[in-house]
Parts: sequence; structure tokens; C-alpha cells
Amino acid sequence: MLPTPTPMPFDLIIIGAGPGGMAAAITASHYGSRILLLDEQPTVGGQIYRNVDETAASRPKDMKLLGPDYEKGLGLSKELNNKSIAHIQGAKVWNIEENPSRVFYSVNGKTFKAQTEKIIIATGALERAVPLPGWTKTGVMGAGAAQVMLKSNGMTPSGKIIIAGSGPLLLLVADQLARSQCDIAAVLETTRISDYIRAAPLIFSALKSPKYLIKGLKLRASLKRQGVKLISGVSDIQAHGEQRISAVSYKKGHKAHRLNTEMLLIHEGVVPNVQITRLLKANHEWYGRQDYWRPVKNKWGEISCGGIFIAGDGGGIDGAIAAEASGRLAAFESLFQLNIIGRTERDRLTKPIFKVLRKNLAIRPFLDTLFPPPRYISKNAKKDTIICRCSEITVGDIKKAVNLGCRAPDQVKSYCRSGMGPCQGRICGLAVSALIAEETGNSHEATGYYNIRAPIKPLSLSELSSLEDAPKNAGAK
Amino acid sequence: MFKRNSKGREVTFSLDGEAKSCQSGETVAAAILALNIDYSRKTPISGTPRAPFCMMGVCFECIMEINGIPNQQACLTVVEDGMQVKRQDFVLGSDWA
Repeated sequence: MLPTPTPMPFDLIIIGAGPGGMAAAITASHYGSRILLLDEQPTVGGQIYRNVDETAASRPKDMKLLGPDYEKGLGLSKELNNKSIAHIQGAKVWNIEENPSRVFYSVNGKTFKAQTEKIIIATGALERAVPLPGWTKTGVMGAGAAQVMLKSNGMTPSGKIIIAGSGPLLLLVADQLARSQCDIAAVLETTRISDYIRAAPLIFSALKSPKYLIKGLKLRASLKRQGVKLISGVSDIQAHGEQRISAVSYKKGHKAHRLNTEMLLIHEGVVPNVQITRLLKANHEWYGRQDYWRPVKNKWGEISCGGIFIAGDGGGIDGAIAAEASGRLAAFESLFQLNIIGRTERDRLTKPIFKVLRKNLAIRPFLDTLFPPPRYISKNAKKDTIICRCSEITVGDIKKAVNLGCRAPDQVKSYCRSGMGPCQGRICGLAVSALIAEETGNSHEATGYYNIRAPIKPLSLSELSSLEDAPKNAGAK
Repeated sequence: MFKRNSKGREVTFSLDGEAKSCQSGETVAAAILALNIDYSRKTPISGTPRAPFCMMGVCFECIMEINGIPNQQACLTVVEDGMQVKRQDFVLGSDWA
């Protein structure tokens, strides 16, 4: 007779407490399943609802500024706390193993492993890093980073700023900073007339969910009303200055311009954070409309590693409402696979969620076409522009490696150490692959991506030596 | 580079041995940005100054020595009273034998 397997300590471990992760945890908690929610930030919310509890409690002015799309996060965070769902903030996941599924994470310098039946990865997105001359100077940051400063710390830029790039978040951040009396020298949009023409046929699908379109138009109107200088069709953006930025130059048409500034906030859209799905060697597919990799998933969000799901923007950039829906879908399918709910119940409960998801995905083809990522790294970046910020590898270094015969990111990495610094390719991964593809003429698919290995967060030996099993009541309040 | 728009409880910490203050709940990276100093670390290869970049835990530009432990992500660490923060400015091949 086979011995009865000992039950795993957890039914479900969820990584990331943004809309996807919180919704997954709340959904699964209704069925008394043993959940552990791990999140590396100090407070729940992910990036979209970042620090929403604190902002609501102590900074009503910022709450108003950030608006109803931010306030929406309060519903999820309140439910998460009311249900006393086991969750640990400041928990950095540095490895995941399969068969049996084990999640390794560190909290305050101590490290744990937790065995689980199912895993939902809800690690979201990051701002696409597009190398431009001078982007490593101090005073250059992501526009999303500036928004995090507002959400998380109630801070805004103190001097003159320029906001540059494209994407829905660009105008949102510009408007929020303008309304908090920041001195905006200009908003430089890389979006061109041709992008509007290309996106136009997709507007009918976008109209299925008109609130996104209306929001975009309102933002433009608001910026205009506040007298913010909006310049579109801009190219060749460069940051100038000694160690700290002092000016930005750009081209509009064939004319060169230069503006003085104390900060440059850059944004070229957001891309899935694939660090964990890459670590798992899950299958990924190239999404050409926005030039990023996303893990292949089924309609429940299950990736090519069985029993492991992706929820939210980590599976493709679809926004906060879609993230919440995908978190719930992954949770219901996990409950079904765990025999906690039946097939009929799963299908009945998820039918309205699929409807919400479909409605919120309708805008994406339009947005993804209107705001295309910069297509050629070498068009804007110079030979001496840093591409891998950690290891200080330049565009010229990568080109040299390709000239010597390197065809894949890992070969380039072995040759010149790009992607080997502490960020482990999170920032330069897409750019390095794109540059290799440009140089070789190969497709993005044939070029591939860095091989990601554990630990995916820096881990000291003393931390590793403290490794022990996570207590069964880990994260319980 | 950044300014505070609201008042909160004051917290004191040390930066490279100097006493500094910020507000309760702020991350180390935010507190550093509000101090308007030139940089938060120097790169180990060329010794170039860098400052926090992504503020969401992915770029590792904000790594600092916090309470004696090097390479801590300052944007994921909330300042606590008495915290010892140091800027890392060693350059490979010089400080490292």
C-alpha cells in the first residue's frame, strides 16, 4: 500500500499584492483554503494601488489628486485585511522549484521555503527601459517612478521637470504633477501622426469600453487648461549635464531644440515582469504590437508549468481591472484543481468574470497601436550610450559582441557581462535582445532572451544558511 | 530633487554618519531623494554617481548599505528611527584587492 502523502502546508501561494494578487487571495479565502500572499513592497497595492491604505488615511489631498482609479484599490485592500488573509509584506521571492512546488523567500534577512499545491504569480509590470544618451545621469527617472513617489511618499519633484516618451501613463503622470503645482518645462511625446492613423481602424473595438478613451481626452484637455506645453512627434531625446542632468535636447521634424531642466521623467509604456516565469523556464511568446515577451497561458492563466498561474500584467499588459479579473480566474481554477469546488460551480462563478475581462481587453489593440514602443534601439542611443546600467555596458559593446559572432543574449552576456549586475537583466533584457536582433537581422523570436537563474534577488550566504521551512501559520495576523 | 507635500511624524536616521531626518513611512530611497543630495551610490566599475531610478524594486540603482548590510534596495526599505544608511562608493580594482 502506498503511504498517504502528507498534505502540503499551503494550498496556494500568491506572489505579489497588486490587483491580481489581492483579488486571487480574496477569492480563494472564501473557500477556507490555506493561502500565503507574499509581497516585496512595504504595503499592499502593487504599483497601481500603491500604498493606497496609507494615502487614504493620512493624505486626503493626494487621494483626490490620484483620483477614483486609485481609490478603487481601497476595496481590495480593505477586504484583504478584513478577511485576515495570511500575507507577508517585504517578502522577496528568490526561487521557485517545481514537483513539488516550493517557493523560497526572504524577509528581513531571514529566508524560508514553503511547499504549496498551487502558485499564482502576480508580479505585474515594469516601465520599459529604452536607453537614451545620458539616461544614467542623476535626475533622470521613470515617469512611473515619480508617480510612485507621490503614491508612496507624498512627494513631488521640487524643480523644473521634463516628461518625455509615450503611453497612457505619460499624460496621467503629467496631469497629476501639473495639478500638484510642479514646474513642467514641457511634455515631449514621441507619438507621431502616423501612429494615430495606424490606430484609427481599431477605434471601434476601443469604443466597447469608452471610459478609457474619455479619460485620455480629459487628460489632454486638463493639461491644455493648465498651460502645460505638450509637444508631440518628438525624437532623438538626450539628457545633458555633468553627473546630474541640466538640459534635454530633442528633435521635432528636422529642427533641434534644447530645454533646461532639473529632472527628466521618461516613460515608454510598461512591459511584463517575466523574471519568475523565465526562472521557471515557462514557454513565452513575443507580442509584436508592443514588443515584449509574455508567458504562454490558457484562459485561466495557467502557464506551461502545470499548477502555476500568471495573473495581471505579468501575463501581458491589460491594466488593473483586467488584472483583478485574471486573479479571480486563476484562483477559481486553482480551487477546482484542488477539488475544493466542482466544474459546474467554477464555470458558473467565472462566467461574469470572463465578461468583465473581455470588456476591458477591448481597448488594448487601439492603445497598443497608438503608443508603439521605440522600434530601433540604435536609432536613439549612440555608440557610447549605456544599455546595461548595472554593468555599464554600452550599445557599442553589444554591437562589438555581435560582430564577433554572438547571436543570442546569453552569448553576449558571457562575452561582456551585460545583464549580470544586481538587476539581472530586468532593465536591459528587452533592449539588449532588440539590439542584437537589429544587428543580426534575426527575428525577436530567433534571438530570444536572457536565461534567468536563481537567486533572482541578491541573497547573502548568511541569509541562505538561515533557510528553514516557513511556519504553517506564516503571515497569519 | 523631491519635496514633501504633507506633514508626518519625524524619524531620524544617519547617512554616512551624519544625522538626517525624514517622515515616518518613507522609504530610504525617497528620504534620500528629498535630501536633494547628488547621488545614492557610485557604480563599482567606473565610480559614476547614480540615483534611484525605478522606485519599484526592479532596477537596483538605489542599492545602499543599510544597518551594516550592503546592496539593500533602498526603495523597498522603510526608514526606521536610528537606521544607519551608507552610500556604497567602492570601485572594483581599487577598494577590492
